[in-house]
Amino acid sequence: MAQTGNTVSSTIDARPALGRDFRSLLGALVTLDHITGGLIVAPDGLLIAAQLPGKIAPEPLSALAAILGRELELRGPRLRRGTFPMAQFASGTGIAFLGSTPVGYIVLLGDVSADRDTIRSALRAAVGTVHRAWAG
Amino acid sequence: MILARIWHTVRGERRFRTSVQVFRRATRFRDEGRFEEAAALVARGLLLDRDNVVGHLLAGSLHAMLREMGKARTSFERVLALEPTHPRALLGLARIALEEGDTGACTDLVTRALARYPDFPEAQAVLDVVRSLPASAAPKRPRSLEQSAIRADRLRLPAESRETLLARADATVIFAQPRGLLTEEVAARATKLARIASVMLARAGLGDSLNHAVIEGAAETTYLRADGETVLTLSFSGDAKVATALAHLERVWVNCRSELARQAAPNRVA
Repeated sequence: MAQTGNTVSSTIDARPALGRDFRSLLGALVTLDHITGGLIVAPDGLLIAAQLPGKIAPEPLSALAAILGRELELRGPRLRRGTFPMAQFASGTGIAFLGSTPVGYIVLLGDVSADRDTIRSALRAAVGTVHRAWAG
Repeated sequence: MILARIWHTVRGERRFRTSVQVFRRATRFRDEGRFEEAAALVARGLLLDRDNVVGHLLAGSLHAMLREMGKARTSFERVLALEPTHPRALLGLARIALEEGDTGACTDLVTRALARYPDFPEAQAVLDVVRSLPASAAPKRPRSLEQSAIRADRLRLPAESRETLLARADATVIFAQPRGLLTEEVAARATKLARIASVMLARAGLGDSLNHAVIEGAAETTYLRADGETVLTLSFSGDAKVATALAHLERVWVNCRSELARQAAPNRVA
């Protein structure tokens, strides 16, 4: 029983570290199949972490992700202010996922073959991890 | 007199060095995502050196991160009072103007930033967005012809859909069900979202136009379909299956395009 208590305690202690270690968090997400890169960006556009293909400049992408994230956060497409846990935007050649957290937005870029359910699930878990880390 | 001058210089240098250290540490905290600690340090640093440009800029950045946009604006304006062409302060104010729908002010601010620093990729990205938006943020009134021409039964709207909106890229409402006081504003928001997303996808190397989007909200999920001319949104409850909702979206989209083509045909003949 005591051992179980220790295990639980360790897990709880570990959560904030993971949710605040943005590079590790992003590093795990970009290993998902058909994910080509990602970034974590603050609401003001500051780039917190990025793993992108060399041809993509991180700074303009972070600025745009923050604008899009704030637009969704403030109004959403239906003018209902509040949370938007996640959104995805698809073109003919790929897809961008955007997750909202207290510190900003997690963006993942994928090709057309990306398994959206798997990526949504992983992104939802990452968003939850950051939320828990910042709740305390 | 000489001793007093030396003392003043030494004291001033020490104070300056201290505030530099405080702001440097605050920058490190901010970059690590430790926003509250960084904000506390910046406040301390500004007490030591109240006209410090770096301090006010950091304060603006931290307020924006904490979603305190009014305070962020005050800090960025203070930076510009001290250094009128500071590019980061201009960009910060431009982003706030864009959020508030003031595309004219946003354009002016990023243009000033780019005039000072032409190689400023973030400012260029913001300019790309603002140039993609209609000149006026004011919602368009619907054209009576379009309102009467599109019939819900022809679109075969899914019963599960709570709201449907079809708008032109300039935010003119073509069809809305239900229709309310906010419909035009919703159309403006939806088209703005589609444009920002298109610019972001292009910068991400994923083509230059949004095809569709799925936006989860607290109580419902919005499905958006777009091309360069038209934007369609359907909203479903949050527990609707994504694949099913996307299939509905595509079917209604095809029906919308068909209705719009049907409308346009007699005009062309005439």
